Amino acid sequence: MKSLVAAELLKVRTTRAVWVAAAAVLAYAVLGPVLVVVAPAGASIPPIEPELLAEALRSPARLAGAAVLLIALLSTTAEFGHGTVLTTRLAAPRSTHVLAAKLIAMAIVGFVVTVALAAVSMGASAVLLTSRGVAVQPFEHDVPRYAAILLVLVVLHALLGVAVGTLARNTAAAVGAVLVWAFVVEGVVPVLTRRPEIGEWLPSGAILQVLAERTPPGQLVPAAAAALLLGYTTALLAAAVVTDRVREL
Amino acid sequence: MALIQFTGLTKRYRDVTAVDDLTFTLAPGRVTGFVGANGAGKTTTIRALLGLTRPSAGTVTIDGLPYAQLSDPLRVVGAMVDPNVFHPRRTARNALRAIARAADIPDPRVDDVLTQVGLAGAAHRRAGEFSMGMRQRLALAAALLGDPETLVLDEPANGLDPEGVHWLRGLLRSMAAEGRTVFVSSHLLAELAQTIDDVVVIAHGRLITHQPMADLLGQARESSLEDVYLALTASGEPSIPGTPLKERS
Repeated sequence: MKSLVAAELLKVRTTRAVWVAAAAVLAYAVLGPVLVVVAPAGASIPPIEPELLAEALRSPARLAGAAVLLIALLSTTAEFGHGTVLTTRLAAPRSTHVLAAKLIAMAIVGFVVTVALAAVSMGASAVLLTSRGVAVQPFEHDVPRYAAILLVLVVLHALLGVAVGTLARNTAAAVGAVLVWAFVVEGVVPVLTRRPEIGEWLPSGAILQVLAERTPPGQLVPAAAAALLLGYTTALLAAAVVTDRVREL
Repeated sequence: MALIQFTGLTKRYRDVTAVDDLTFTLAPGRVTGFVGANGAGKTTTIRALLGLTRPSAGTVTIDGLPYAQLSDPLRVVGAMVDPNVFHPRRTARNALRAIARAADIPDPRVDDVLTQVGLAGAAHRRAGEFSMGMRQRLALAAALLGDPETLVLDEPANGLDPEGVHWLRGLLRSMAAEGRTVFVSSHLLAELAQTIDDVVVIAHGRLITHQPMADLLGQARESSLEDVYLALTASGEPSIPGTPLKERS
């Protein structure tokens, strides 16, 4: 398994997707503090206070998740699109082992992206806070909680990406399915059912609930929303495993 | 050296029988040619051997085991089923390193096989920049990575220039001389005739004959493999090995 994971990580490193997506996320992470610094006098900017560090983790979380989801999707569908799945399968004939290795590799990619994002985003915010004479408090104001949430969210996105990529095989179909689900299905279902509260039980809604600063009574608390996301991920992964086992190349 | 046995191998796709009750054994130390028209079932047979497709009936075993149960498959069987199995943005060296890593093969072996197939100078070029012949050589390099006991090659001469075809012939002969099993499908019968010791002919998924080349040419009193092949497949009936060809009609 260690060799298979190493092979998957090598594959990810030797294509552009991971570098482009990671660069986009890191650029976004430093953009906020930079904009505050260069903002003209009188511009509407958030207050420079210690809570900014937590916001530095919360704000780019959805983009980081989307970027890692895209990396995992592209990495998985490229295997089928470019035929590399054949050489992979000849080296490791058990499809479940290959899938497990890809999941572990993408979780590692998610972890690395999270650490890099946290370092860059918090580093930039810390510089801004220090320059304005505000205390930097990395263990206060929910910073550790949002660091954990960021990590969980990004890793779940990585696993979702592998699952959807394995099921769809085709890059356009996989990306299209994710976009249609996120922007059409999740928008239409609460309207059609006339039950807007359903939205928080769907994947994108659950992500928002996980990241929510405060949860109004009656809504999903972050831990429950995270458990729900884990459930969606597990269901898709189970479907991917079954499909991969019966699929012929 | 590995003994490969096809026993009653049958593969059906809905109403179409691609391979029909194939039974033969590949002998170590010999180059066996696998001959048949387009759609005769050659590629399906090879994919079944490599565990890429599941037989509807029958078995294919390598030293008594299906490919999927080999503990170290690339060291037992080196296979080339398609030259288009490389990510276009990955360099030749990285493409092979990914395969080698999955199979626990050390990186220096990657450089060895690149040299062996004449691609050492193109090791750092992207696979997407390769000509058909170069991709064919790269796919052969992937097959040679594990220094395998058996080589299984599907149409390996496609796209090779005359020098490449000459080199391939020498490679196959030298592998067999070392006691390895070599199984090679091709529709370039004149080229194949210069390389092989034994020939397996199939038509419509059924075994027509499996004999040493010298015996087959002697029985048929034909001057070339092409003439023998045309005579054999014209009737489409399976022959009993050793039965003189002229008596079958």
